[in-house]
Amino acid sequence: MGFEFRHRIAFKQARTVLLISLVLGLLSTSIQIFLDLRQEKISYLAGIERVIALHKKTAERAIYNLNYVKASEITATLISHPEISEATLVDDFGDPLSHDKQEISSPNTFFYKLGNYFFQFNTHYESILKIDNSQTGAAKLIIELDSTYITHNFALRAFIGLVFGLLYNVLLACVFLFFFYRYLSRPILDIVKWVDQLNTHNNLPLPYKGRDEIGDLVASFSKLWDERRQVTDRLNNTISKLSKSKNFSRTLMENAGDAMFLCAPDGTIIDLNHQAVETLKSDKEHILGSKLSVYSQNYSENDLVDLFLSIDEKHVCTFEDIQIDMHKKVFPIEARGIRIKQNDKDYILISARDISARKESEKQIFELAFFDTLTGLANRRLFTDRLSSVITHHQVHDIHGAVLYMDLDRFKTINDSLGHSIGDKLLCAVSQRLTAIAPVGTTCARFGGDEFVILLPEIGPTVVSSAEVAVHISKKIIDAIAAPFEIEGHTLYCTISIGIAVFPEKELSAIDILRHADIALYRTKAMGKNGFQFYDPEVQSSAQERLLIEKGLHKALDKGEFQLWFQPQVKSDGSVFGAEVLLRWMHPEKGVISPDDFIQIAEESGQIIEMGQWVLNESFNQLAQWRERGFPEGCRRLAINISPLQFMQVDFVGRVLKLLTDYQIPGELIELEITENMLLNNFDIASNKMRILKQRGISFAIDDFGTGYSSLKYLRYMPLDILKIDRSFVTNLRPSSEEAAIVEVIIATADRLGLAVVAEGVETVEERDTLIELGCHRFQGYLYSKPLPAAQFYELISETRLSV
Amino acid sequence: MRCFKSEFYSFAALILFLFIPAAQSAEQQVEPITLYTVNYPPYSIIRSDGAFEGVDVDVVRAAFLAVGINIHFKTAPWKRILKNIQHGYILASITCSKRPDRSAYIKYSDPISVANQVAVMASASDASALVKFSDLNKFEVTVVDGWGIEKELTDSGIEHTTTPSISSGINAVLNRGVDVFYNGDAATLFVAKKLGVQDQIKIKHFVDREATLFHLCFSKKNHNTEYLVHQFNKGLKVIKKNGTYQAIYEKYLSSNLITNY
Repeated sequence: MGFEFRHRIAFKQARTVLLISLVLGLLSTSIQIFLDLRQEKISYLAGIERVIALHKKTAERAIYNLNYVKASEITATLISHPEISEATLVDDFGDPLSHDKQEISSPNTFFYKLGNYFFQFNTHYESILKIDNSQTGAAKLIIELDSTYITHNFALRAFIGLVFGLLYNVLLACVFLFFFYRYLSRPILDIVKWVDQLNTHNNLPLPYKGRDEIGDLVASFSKLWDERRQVTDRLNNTISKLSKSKNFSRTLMENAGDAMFLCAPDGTIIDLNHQAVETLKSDKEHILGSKLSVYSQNYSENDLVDLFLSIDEKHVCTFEDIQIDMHKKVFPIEARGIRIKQNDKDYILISARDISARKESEKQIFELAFFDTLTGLANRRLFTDRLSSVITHHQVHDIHGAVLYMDLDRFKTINDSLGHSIGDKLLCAVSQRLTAIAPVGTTCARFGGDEFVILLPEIGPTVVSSAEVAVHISKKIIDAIAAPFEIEGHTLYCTISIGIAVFPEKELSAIDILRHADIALYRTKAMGKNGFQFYDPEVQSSAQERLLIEKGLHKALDKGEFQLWFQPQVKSDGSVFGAEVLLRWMHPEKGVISPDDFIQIAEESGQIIEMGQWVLNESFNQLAQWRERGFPEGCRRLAINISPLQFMQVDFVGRVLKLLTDYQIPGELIELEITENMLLNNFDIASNKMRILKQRGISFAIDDFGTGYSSLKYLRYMPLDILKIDRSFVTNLRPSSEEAAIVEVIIATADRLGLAVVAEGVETVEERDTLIELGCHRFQGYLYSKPLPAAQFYELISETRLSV
Repeated sequence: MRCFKSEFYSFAALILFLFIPAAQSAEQQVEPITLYTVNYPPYSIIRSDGAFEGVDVDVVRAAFLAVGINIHFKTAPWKRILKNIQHGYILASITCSKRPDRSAYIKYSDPISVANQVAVMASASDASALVKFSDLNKFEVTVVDGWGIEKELTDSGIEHTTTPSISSGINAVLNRGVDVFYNGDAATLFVAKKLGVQDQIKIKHFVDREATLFHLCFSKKNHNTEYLVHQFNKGLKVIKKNGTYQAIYEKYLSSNLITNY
């Protein structure tokens, strides 16, 4: 390595030394010159004084003797001094005795000008000479100094001193340069050259072995270099191995059959192999940097982050996903993830394999294992599994379902006569019709032969309601199968027998339920086929009864079988203040049917909405008629029961308001009775609707209070007016009984909340008296009147008051 | 009786003579006056004890004493004395000859003494060629350094050397091979007598040189000069008349050197 000379340390140091010595030299020379200047002045003065002293006595004698010759000798001697230009002896009479002068040397030289600038002094000296017995005064020796000579000499000396100082400094710098180069720069250059060769040569001799700082530096560096070289060699070997290993790993990764993604913990794809690019049908550059969740159907970005958090370095995490390629084609994958730490950073390596084929195989296996190969319906195993699951679930949640066990009537005849092919196709056709009828969520299965089973998992809250649904579906099935089948030119007529088992029951297993259904099926077969039978005869009866009622309800409205009856509400003095509207079904065969027998069915079937609207219409119509005829003044209110389902209809408030308008009836005449359960589920909506209706004067009574949750919250925050004590508390009410305590609390609560209290089901005087004693003064019950048809009720209330 | 009377009158005249000037002097000169001189034997001799004597010293002292004026002497270099007189710092100096350049500032008294500038030669030397002053050019001449006679030689264009004193001048003639020592005759003889070599020298007068008269030179700048010159001249006449003057000459020189002027 070569340096320009001016860049070498020796030169720099010598230059520095030169500059410093020049500056210091100039400074010291300047000080020296300044001091010399002062000393020169003093010296000159002293010299002049000495010269004068030397000639003083002689001069005094010469003057005393007025000896011109001697005086002339003295002045001549004085001016022989080069620094004295003029010498004059003046006697004590003031007359010049002798005067000598020499020419001033070179007055305009450079050094004279320079010296004259710095060296300014008095060139005129007078020395008093003492003359004995002189009566005239003192004589004088007058000397004029040659300033030119003095300043020239002084400046010349200063200049020579300066020049020699400069030469000294330059020489000193050269000496330093030599020594710096010899002992510092050249060894360093050798060391630099040595260091340059260290990378390419081994075992080079040390460039400097002096026992000084540089020698120590070289030895220390050499030792450190050797140590580092060994470490570097080891490191290079390691890197080489690592590089080979990395290449090997990379090769493995690139040639792996699985798609491999190296992801950051946040799901960002950092690297991927060729297979991954192929799988996603995209460009590597396009995929890099994107989130893995972009290509996942099942995992969102946050899901993947959570999943990655659960992956550690020791255990491979396996999960399945549906991957989406760039063409939006989806395919299942099985992925294995493991956490990798590299340079203190975490990565998740995902190895994904397309398992479409496997899934297809699994599906086939699954279908073979769990489905009927002929019809595609579930087989016995799958059905039994699902039934077992449903039973367990239902036992916990108190939900009811049903199993329909079916068998084609006369199938064997068809099969034998038309062949298995026709038989199989018939089975397929039957299965299609069953599937079409079965509600969503049900499982249709073929157990073999012509045996079909349907699992209705959730069809009702009670056994009876479930049975009713089962009946309903069974009839659909029977009707559907009864329709002829067109198979390969043959018109085939089939019927089907169904056995029904409702579950859960007494912790029965799936096998038990199936057995019950099978038994019911055989009962159906025994009873003439083409029908259905429940395993439990009571269920059979109840279901049929409900079915009848439900069926009848559909027609009752159309046929005008419903009537409104009215039961008076009486004050304690016997005066009627209102009436509750009660619905009666005038069944053509069964006579009058109480609402208790059909309201729940109507609510479950949804028919209650239509019925409720009919009740509202009829009530308003009746009230309008009575008002035309003259409604008793004391009877101020008609209480109409509203079912929760009806009340929660979106247009309920609008319908009521419309009725008020249509029939010109003040809202104050209308009281709507609602149940606690309605409030329980829809507190805010119900509250808002009630407030709107109350603005029109309509009052609200809470029915059957005490039988439900009896939440005081409703009483506090709902815009209620009347609280009706349920008949269960009133029946056989005696003072000091438990019921009396409850009733007393209810009455006190209502009183505190400003609610009126009406006791229902008051049938005896004792009950009424007890109620009065407890603070209730409004009653409804047989004690005063049974519910009456409209005409009779009008007649009743037309009387002044009801007597007990 | 007549003799007594005449003696009485003489005595009275003497007393009157003596006291009148004194009375006048008492009017104008209260303090004793100081006169300057140089060692110029035999006219002025400064003894080693500092006392002054000599022809001119004694004559001046006697003359002033004759008019009642007390004097004392001091010495100084001759040029300094003259310059002080010129500036009026010194009253007067004795043994001072007349020179044209001095007339401007010096008031001369009557002559006190005389000096002939002669060529002093060794007795055995040939003086036949030395007749006129200008003949000195034919001889090797020396003269006392700084004195007025040196200036004469210089002014006359006569080459010469100088010697520090009269004795050294005599020695130069006798022992150094110098032909002529140009000097005053009285001073030279006085010194030669002192040296005991008066017989080894001879005096040669110039035919064209007059004798030099010595006066008492007063500074014209002194306001008493006129009076003192007058008093001195008067006293000088007195001592010449009463024989004091001659007695003084006898004391220092042979009588043949007394010039009647």
